[in-house]
Amino acid sequence: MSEHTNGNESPWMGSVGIGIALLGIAGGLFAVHLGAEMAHIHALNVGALVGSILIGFYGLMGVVAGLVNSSVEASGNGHDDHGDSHDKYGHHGSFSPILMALGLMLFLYGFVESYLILILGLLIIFIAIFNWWREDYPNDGKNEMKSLGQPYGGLDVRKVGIWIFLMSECMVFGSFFSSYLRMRLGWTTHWDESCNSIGEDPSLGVCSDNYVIVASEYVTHNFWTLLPGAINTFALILSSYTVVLALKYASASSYVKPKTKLMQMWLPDQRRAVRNNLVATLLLGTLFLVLKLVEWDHLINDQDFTIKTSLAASIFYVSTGAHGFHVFVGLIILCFFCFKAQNGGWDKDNAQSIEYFGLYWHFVDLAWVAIFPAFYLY
Amino acid sequence: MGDHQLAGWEKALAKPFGDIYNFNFIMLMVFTVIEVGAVYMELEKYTTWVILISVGIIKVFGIAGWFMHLRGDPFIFTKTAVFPLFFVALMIYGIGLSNPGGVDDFPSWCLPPWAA
Repeated sequence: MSEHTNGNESPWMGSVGIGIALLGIAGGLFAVHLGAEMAHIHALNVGALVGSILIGFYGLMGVVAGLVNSSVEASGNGHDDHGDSHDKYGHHGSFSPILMALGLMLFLYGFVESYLILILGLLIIFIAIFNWWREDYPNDGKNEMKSLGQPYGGLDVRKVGIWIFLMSECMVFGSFFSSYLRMRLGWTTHWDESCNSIGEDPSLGVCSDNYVIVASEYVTHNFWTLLPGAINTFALILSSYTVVLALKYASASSYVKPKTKLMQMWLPDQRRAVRNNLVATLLLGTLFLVLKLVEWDHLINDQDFTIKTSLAASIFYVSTGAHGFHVFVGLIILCFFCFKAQNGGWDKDNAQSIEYFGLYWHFVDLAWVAIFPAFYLY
Repeated sequence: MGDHQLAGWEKALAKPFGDIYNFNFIMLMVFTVIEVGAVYMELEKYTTWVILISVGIIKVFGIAGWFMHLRGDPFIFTKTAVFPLFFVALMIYGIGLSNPGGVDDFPSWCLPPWAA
């Protein structure tokens, strides 16, 4: 499968076509958003807006993927040669991640400074993504760099790198969690006092002066407010499962067709089994972000629980926002994986890339295992 | 990371479900239902804590052990994963459980403008 083609004459045209189709779907969703806004259907309005932005973004990624494919074709670079210097230990990495980090820094800085910086940041991010994908697209896994020193001698450098990166992420979420834990144990909340805190039941009496309302009070208020967070938890677990399945199918030396007809339709051959599971992961991640922002919108506009309301609100939005940002980064990477899978770019020799992405994605799931009960349920 | 690297008890668990990933997925789903149910039933405070923490530990084991392949990968990866947990525990103790001023005695430079 390393020829990166699904039999089409020009696979890059396919990626551009899918990209344009996604942009069309995004336009349709935006129309739904406008309609829902006029009809005052709040949740649909927000959900369709977020969905249109994300799917529009995937459409742009499709166009980028098409340009990447055509650029690889034009250079005749259909094997694992990244255009940089090689030796027997493999390639030497890329400046693209650093460029992307620079773009991201400018993009985030632009939020408070100016639209010009924001657009410049986005532009740099797109250039970095283009170059990064272009380098990684022909990777057939045959030049996987091995660690030479101890204690990781003989192991894939990328795998070691992603584990060390994830452990630094552990510290980031650990600091959020520990500060929340300290504040939460010191506050007087619904754990300690039964009162009419969110204005729903006057018979419960007035809360004390030092009473603090936490997000979980609003979230667990009734079935419908709890539902988005619960669906999100199931969506993340299911998406972790679909990544594992994509890896399982990509790394299989021979493909065994499923027994049931339904599953045969879903997974007709190895290429589509990998692609469909990756696309399912992308859709579940998108669902997660849409529901998260619908939930935020409910808290901000219906409950007036904004980032400035209190420290409880501040730590809630910072922690869940940081987690949501990690999901979004995962979706950008998944876009590339899906377009590469569409062109039959994954096989048992390079499936380890799916495994390394999977490690990141499962970590995002792990962080949610701590965030969901701490911030949403209790 | 295949089934062949699993211990006997893991193979026994996986057998009725086809492979360990199917088993793990179903287990995670079931424990999430328990997690949500425990809060929805409004049990006693400490009972809920015990359930949530226990379920959390089981889910972390399932995700890290089987989905992230720590069970079956070289042990150095497990050591790498456990290493920062020492610092996280230190943070939770140092900031989370032992700092009496951590709730309302922040210096003004440590607070956002609207809270200072």
